Amino acid sequence: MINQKDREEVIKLLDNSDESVTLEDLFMFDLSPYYNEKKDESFFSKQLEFIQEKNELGHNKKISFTSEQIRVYNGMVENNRTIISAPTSFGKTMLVKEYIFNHQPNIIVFIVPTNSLADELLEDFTTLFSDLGYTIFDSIKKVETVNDKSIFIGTQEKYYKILEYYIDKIDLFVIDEAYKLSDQIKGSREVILNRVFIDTINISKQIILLMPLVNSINGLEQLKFNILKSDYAPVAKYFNSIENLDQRIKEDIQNVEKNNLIYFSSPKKLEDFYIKNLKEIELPIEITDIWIKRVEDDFHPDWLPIQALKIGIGVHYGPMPKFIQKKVIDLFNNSLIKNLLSTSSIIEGVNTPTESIYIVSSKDILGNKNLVKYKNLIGRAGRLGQHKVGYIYYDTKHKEQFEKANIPYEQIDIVFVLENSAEIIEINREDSFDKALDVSKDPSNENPSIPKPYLEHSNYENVPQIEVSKLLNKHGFTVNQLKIFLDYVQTKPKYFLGIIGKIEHGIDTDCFNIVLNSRFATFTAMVDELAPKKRNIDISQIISSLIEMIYNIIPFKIIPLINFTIDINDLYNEYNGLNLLSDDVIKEANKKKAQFYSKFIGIDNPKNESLIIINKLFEYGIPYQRVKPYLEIITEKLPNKFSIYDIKKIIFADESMNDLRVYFE
Amino acid sequence: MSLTITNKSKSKCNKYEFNIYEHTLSLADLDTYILDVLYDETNLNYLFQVDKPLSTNDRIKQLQRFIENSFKNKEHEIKDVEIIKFIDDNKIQSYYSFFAEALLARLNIQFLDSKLIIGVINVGDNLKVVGTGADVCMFSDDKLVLGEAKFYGELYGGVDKIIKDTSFLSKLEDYISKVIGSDKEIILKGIDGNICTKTVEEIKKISLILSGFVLHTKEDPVSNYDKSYNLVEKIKIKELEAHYNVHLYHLPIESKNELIFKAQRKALDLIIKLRGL
Repeated sequence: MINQKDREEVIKLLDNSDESVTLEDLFMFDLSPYYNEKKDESFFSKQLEFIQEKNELGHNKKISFTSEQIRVYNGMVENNRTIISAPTSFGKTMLVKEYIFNHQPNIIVFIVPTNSLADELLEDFTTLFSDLGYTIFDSIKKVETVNDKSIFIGTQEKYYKILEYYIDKIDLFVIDEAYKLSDQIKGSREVILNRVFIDTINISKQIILLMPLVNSINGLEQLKFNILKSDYAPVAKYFNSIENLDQRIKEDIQNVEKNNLIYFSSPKKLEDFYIKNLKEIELPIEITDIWIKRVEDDFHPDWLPIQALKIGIGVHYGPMPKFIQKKVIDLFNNSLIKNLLSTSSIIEGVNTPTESIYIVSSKDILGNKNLVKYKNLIGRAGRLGQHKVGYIYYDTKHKEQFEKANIPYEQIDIVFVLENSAEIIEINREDSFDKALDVSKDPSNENPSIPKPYLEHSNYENVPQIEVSKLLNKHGFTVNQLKIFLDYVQTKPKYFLGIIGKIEHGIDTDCFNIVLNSRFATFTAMVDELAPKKRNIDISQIISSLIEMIYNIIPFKIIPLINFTIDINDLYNEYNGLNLLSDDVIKEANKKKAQFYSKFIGIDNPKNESLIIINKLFEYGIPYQRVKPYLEIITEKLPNKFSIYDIKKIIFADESMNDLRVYFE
Repeated sequence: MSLTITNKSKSKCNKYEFNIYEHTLSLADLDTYILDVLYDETNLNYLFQVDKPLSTNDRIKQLQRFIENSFKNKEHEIKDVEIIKFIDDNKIQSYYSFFAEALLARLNIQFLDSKLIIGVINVGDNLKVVGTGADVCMFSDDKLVLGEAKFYGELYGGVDKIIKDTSFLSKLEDYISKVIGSDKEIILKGIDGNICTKTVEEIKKISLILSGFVLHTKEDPVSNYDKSYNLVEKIKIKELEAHYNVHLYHLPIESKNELIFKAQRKALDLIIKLRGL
């Protein structure tokens, strides 16, 4: 049978340098990426050479499409709405790049799940497509309509901010990891992704959704997507259960020939494992002292990811400035470090091929709801051109769960939110409101997520529902969160912190207050202040929690909540002539925002182009104090549509900005 | 080129009949014929991509298979002496043997079945047993051809080489026994990428043709050829069914080196013309 299972067996034989594998075998199993290893002087070999040359990619002559990729590519070209469902190593992004190169659609939007992946693609696309006249960007300095030959690459949040500037039709709209449209609505990420999809679908000429291989895709029937599936992967995998996984990792990590990714379900588990097992190990590492010194100065010398990097072990997790994440990935991808400890930040984060994956803790990737996440993780093992075969190791005690997770794709089904009426309400889809509301008038319907009846019984009923809906979409909040918010508001809260506690659970208030307090101006001062309050917590974890608060929680959770609170208060006032919240709460909300901008962005009331740029550099992890001396010149030289790579270009073209180059090394 | 059947022979085991064909071309005309028939646009394209339309780029890429790698993309700069030097410097006996394989495939299409396409076969349970190891594997709806091709600078035993090519014969026998012994479906994949599966019963009904080809520099006296021809009588292949055939092409040419030179020169000239240089 010509199936993926047998194909993988042939790849494994090839990996073992089995000479009995012939060019004919490779042809039969569509393993053209390996033809060069078996090419000879036969006419058959010449025939395959011709096919390889004919299938060479326009944008990269070193790579040829396999026949499966050609089938999917042709399907994509022939249809205006396509879902490509294929394994990690299939080359889905490569198909899109080839399409752009060959067809050169004018206005392109490419949505990716994380900023890290966006950065990687921004760099790649800038190299590939700038010469074709494309502007590649994720930010806009000064408001303008987007109607020129351009490629936006970024998260749904960034796109949603500029969506209104797309006046003309979008020629090509791509969503990577689009299975996330099937995720249960939990917060702003899911709300905005679904909004982005709904709001863009009718203004796009061509739509491509990329997702891992699944059996059935439901919930998009009305939108008439053509589904192109392939189980083709040019790499094979071995699954091994290990009796003493910790010990095995300790041994393997010192084998400098191998490339290992060690996976943990949380930063805490990662740090505990490192401290217990790896702290004393020393491995070769090529990294400049200047870089290390800068990170220690900007953050803290006791921070575990830095200590680990100094002994040759990379750490990649969420609470980490982006330039450090990027550095770690670059070192790992270039084999300058061989071992990478990581959490789920790696799954959709970046392209990180590795030979072996050790799954130490797996709580967040096992179970039926996480199948796609799990498949995405193991998809990192093995990579065309580097490792024909990938190895996945897990603890014997979890064997049963892993065997369950290793179900064939034929058993994986996903259902898009668009089919689920309760969740449609959560994403505030106006065209479904009426239908849902009619149902809700039935007194037997007690669905708490239906908004209008709720508003009718609240002091918010005078505000048109459409305005509420717009506001929720703008800030990425759900109807359920609105309900919690309004319930809480009725208790006449005195402090904004109370609202934070209700909407964003589990915020560490000590950490939050210290981060915003201007008395603790340096990172070290913040650590020194927080440490005595957390005596039982490791210093590195304290540093991580501060970094997470500064780079993630405040900018992406608290500031949107502040803006939402202020806007909803204004909206209420507009229709009722009264404030919804007390002046003190609003003042406090505004104060918190100002404190954050003042301390980390360097501007109390930011409203100009410089803010967008300094925000961009902050998001990348560069403290504003470092940027401030050069801000004016960067602002002046930067094109209107830009990405971090345009800033990098300016920094490297100007000797006087030598101090900032270290962040891009 | 017309072929006439001038003789019929039987194998020693009296099981098989052999036809011997002859052509009437001069050796110079034969070289021209070989190159014309092989490089004909439609014919050559058929070998590489069956019925897919041919673009100028495709045609250039196909012709480039017949020139030295180092000549590629500077075809207009290549002088005859460079080609000759390459040929003279090459001491490997199998040098340019792919040419005989391509020619065998072309002859099979011309004389056996115009629907034959080159491909591979997967028989039996063993994962990596694909095809048969034959130089040329071709099939159509009702024929399956396994061929071995040699390109020699001298007679070098002629068809005897094929008859005595134990690896080829054993591969054939292996193939036949696998087909007979298999209860799994047999997979055929053509060079055009199309895959078809057949049951053992279906494949058994298809006429299997064992096709050998020796392209070699002519040898004097001509009577040496007879010795070689007569050796076909010794052929004995285990379990060769009555509807299976053996076709052996034994084609003397003026000179192997000269034909290689002409093949490269003509391919270069065609590419130069296509590029308008």
